[in-house]
Amino acid sequence: MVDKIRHVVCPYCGCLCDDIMIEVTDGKISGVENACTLGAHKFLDDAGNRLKGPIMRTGDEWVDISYEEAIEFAVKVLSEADRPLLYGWSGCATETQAIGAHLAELIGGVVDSTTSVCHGPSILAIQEVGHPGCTLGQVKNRADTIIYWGSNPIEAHPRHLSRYTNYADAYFLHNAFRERRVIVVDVRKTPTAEIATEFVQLEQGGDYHVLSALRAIIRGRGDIIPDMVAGVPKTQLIRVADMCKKAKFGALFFGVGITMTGGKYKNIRNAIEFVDELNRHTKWTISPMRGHSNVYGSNEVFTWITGYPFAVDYSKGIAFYNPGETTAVDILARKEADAALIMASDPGAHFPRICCEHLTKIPTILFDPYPSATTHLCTLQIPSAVNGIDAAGTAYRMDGIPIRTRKFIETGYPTDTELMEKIYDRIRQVKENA
Amino acid sequence: MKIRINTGRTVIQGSHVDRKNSPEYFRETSTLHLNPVDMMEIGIDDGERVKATTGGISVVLRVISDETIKRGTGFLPLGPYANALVGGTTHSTGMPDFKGSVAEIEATGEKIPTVGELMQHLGGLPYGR
Amino acid sequence: MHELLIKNAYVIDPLQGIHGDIMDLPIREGRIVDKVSGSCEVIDAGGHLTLPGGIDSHTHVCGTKVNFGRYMSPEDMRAGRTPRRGAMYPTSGYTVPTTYGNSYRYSKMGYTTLLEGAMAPLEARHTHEEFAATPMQDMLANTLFDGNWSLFEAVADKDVRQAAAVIGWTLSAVKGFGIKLTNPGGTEAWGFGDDLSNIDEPVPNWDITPRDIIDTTIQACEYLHLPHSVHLHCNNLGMPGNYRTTLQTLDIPSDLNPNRQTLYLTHVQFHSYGGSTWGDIRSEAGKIAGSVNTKPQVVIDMGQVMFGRTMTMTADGPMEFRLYTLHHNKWSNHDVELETGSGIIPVYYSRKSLVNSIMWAIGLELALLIKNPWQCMLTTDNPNGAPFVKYPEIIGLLMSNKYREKELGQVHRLTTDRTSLGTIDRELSFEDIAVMTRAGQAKALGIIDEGKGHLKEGALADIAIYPVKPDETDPSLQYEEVIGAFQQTLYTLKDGIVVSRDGEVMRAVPNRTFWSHAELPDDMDVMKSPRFVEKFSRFYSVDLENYMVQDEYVQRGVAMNTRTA
Repeated sequence: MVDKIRHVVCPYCGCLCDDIMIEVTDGKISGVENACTLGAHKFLDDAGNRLKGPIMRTGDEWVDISYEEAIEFAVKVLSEADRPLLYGWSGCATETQAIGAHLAELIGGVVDSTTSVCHGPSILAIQEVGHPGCTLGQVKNRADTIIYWGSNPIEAHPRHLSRYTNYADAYFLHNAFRERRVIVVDVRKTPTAEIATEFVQLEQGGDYHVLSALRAIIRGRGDIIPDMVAGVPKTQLIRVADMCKKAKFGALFFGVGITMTGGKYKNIRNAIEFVDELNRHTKWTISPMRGHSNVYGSNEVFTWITGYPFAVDYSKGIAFYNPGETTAVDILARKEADAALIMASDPGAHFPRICCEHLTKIPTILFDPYPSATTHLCTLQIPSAVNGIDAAGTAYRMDGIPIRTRKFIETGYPTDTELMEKIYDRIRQVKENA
Repeated sequence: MKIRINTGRTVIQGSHVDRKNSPEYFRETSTLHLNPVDMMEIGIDDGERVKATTGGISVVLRVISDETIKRGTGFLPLGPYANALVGGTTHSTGMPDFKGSVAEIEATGEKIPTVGELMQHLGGLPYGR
Repeated sequence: MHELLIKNAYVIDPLQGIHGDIMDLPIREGRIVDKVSGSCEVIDAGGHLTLPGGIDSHTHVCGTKVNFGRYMSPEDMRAGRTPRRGAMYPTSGYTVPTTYGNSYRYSKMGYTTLLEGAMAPLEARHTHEEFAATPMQDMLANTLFDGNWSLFEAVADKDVRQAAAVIGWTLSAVKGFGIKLTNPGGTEAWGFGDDLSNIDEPVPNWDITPRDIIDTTIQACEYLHLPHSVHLHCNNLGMPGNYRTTLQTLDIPSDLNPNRQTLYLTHVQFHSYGGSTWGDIRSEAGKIAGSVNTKPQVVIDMGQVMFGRTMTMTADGPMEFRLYTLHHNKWSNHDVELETGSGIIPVYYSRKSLVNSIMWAIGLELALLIKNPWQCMLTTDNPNGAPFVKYPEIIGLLMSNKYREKELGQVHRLTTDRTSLGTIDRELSFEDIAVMTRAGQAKALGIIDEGKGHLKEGALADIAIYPVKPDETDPSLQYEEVIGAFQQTLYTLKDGIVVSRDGEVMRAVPNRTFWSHAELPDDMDVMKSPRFVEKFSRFYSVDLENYMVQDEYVQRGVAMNTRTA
């Protein structure tokens, strides 16, 4: 029996493409259309890859245990922990993220998402100077000039260009592809740089300087710029500034190339202020290239519940936010956490080694459908249904648009929402009975 | 030779992000891209192995030559090998210096650990099924 | 069978014509009934002022731009922290509280129904998720249409029926309640960085004007028989001299609806400025009030400014950018494709500033010069003018000339030259306040028949008992007591359950979302129109099939069904 399911939402990256077509044969995914390589792998590799059930590290062995035993273990560990860390969240639905925030409050723990190692600095910058942005459809319909700064969408957000920027249809541009100009700023010649109208190659750590130089030129103070700024010739800077001022609608997209280097959040602040400045001349917006399909969702949910978008510490009974202190990497590096719940993310692969070492020393409960790098580090792994395949829920695209992912096959795995609800309810009972 | 290692996403790394114990992921994330002239100076060829050391920590990597890489720099796809070299300091931002590792690179005959073995060195128990 | 009897309530219920009677309120299963059995729970209201639950007809509490305001302002979050109390979660935020923060604080003040001032259809799911986390109030969403391309096409074709089809479909699709127009045409112009300076200026790239948009939309709204009228944030907000735009706008609607107003103009304080520059700006509240006084088809809300720090957030993107160029504060912007825009920037209203002092005076002037309280609702456009927790102080100012004089003495000395506030003696009564904070709002929103805004038999038992005895209190002199009373109820009941007591929020009752469902004939089904459907495949960045808000988001939805003319 073959079914074609349309308008499926891909749960991989922040593009949250919602035009995917999945072919299901006898209840299993047999084909994918419209998805990029990353999305296609996500769907096609799913079936053979899932952990069959919860596994617990017992001595030198991995032992299969039941969901009930797994939940009991999680309840015990989390209710007894002094400083539990609840980290990850970026691949699961907002419904689950909400429980995570409430759970952190219940147990006096810290809740943080992958934001802190991705676009956390962007949020820090936004908290200093604001965020002049827009939805992706505005860019698609209006932008004649696009900048990708420290971002390589061809490898990390492959359909970004065809759905939202360079190659997309536009209401206001008749021959969009020919009329649009793409400026790529990076330290190396990435595949995205290959298709740029103008490629600016700068030295590692030089983004702040280049942004400052561009701002000065826009303000008419090009006279103070030296001949070379961080490896970029002044002539190119003037050319780029000119392209920006002449744009009818410009959109600046930036990635972890500038959140992770140099001044980090100060880089982003400079970029935002560059766009603010351009808005005095013409129309410009700036947008972060969010990596995970629902990392922005975690920011939204944590904010409306706790007041803060990530790194929220409830140990004092109120919501407390202090990135650098209450962020996951710091808490693990300082060996503060005495228990960890890792949900839908892989610190084993993506955190500094000192953090991973600490995870092996404390009870670490991992929610992930597949064996990952963190599997080897954890105490207990609980597989749940995959958001966007056998579980539905809300995800927030990189521009803030909320879209509901679809469930299109039945696998019998419990959803992470159900599991988290059970854990929350039981811990609440434990606390009430105490 | 001191090399400033940049990290980042690649399509192959991203395609296998749900299969981090696969041979493809292992190969992609443990392969360091170097400038061909730097490779000559270190004395290694495509596909050979090096030991990258920073702050007393070492990780063994495969090397591939890449003309888009500037001299004195390298590119290592995002993953556990790259992060083996990253420290826990975040300068009070929550964000470590992911793209700033400066490592001493020298040729080596040692084996590249699998992802499971890498995690085992940190105190984990590899899951093999 | 849950029964409750409230005894000795000093009831003011303007919709029933009850002007201050001591009476009992029998409640069964969440509604007011004729009588209850002798063995039920009793609350003695002790002769204190008892009103239907408060209704806020324009507040920004849930949705994309509100949450933007929160996460870009950790300093604001820190300013209003509360820890867990019993079943109530910790809260954060002072001018833009978290959803639970908003909900608990409104509940303490006796509010049980809130209309979210602006929801972009494309982002409706976000608003609904936050509605579910605002558990102490029933919620309604004003849905933005000011930059809606499908509506623009109908306006350009002068096709009221087509406009109605688009609006009807959209409200059902996203579970919206009412039609919101914010700087109509201006938010679309802002898509390329422009704005409009008067209501007869054509929208760039479109052959229509704000006047066309407003007029066609009003007619479409009445064609659909929607419960609420068009809800309009006029063009030119905040500009010296903008009162002319407001007067012209007020002249647009004729009287098309027997049950309620034909046009609701929101936060009119921001639209009542005379003069031509920041230097000679003055109040034209008198002229605006004069116009409203001759037009029973118009209802406004104040948009009162109060001094101190707050956050501005509206769909009026270009206006927020203007504030950025003025204040150089942190500024956020969020244009929504094919639909609308938004902007956010914190502000500080200072007594030392003549402009701010004039703004403060204008809101009060409007409320005092508009003769009929049913035409002037009490709001601050929360949080744009001030956080809603300041409503009690506004009540004090409206009820006490003495308090107004005292406050006038604290603001910029030229305020009395530029406004007429110092010459107005009128003091509003408890009944006027009851109209402006619940009865009038229920009427303006068209939710009287849903059991809101009154305590007639069959009404929802949403009740607020305030610690004040009107017969023993002279609000003119005892304004501080009046303010204190409105800050915190003795009891707030929702659906007949005590949800707040003496300022302690106790429990939530499953809240409802009211939305408008216009039943349309087949030939008004926009899904059959290629021009409409094509927008999704070509210009929106989301598929049509994923656009509509699924039932999961509105678990306790109340569809208000209407039929077209």
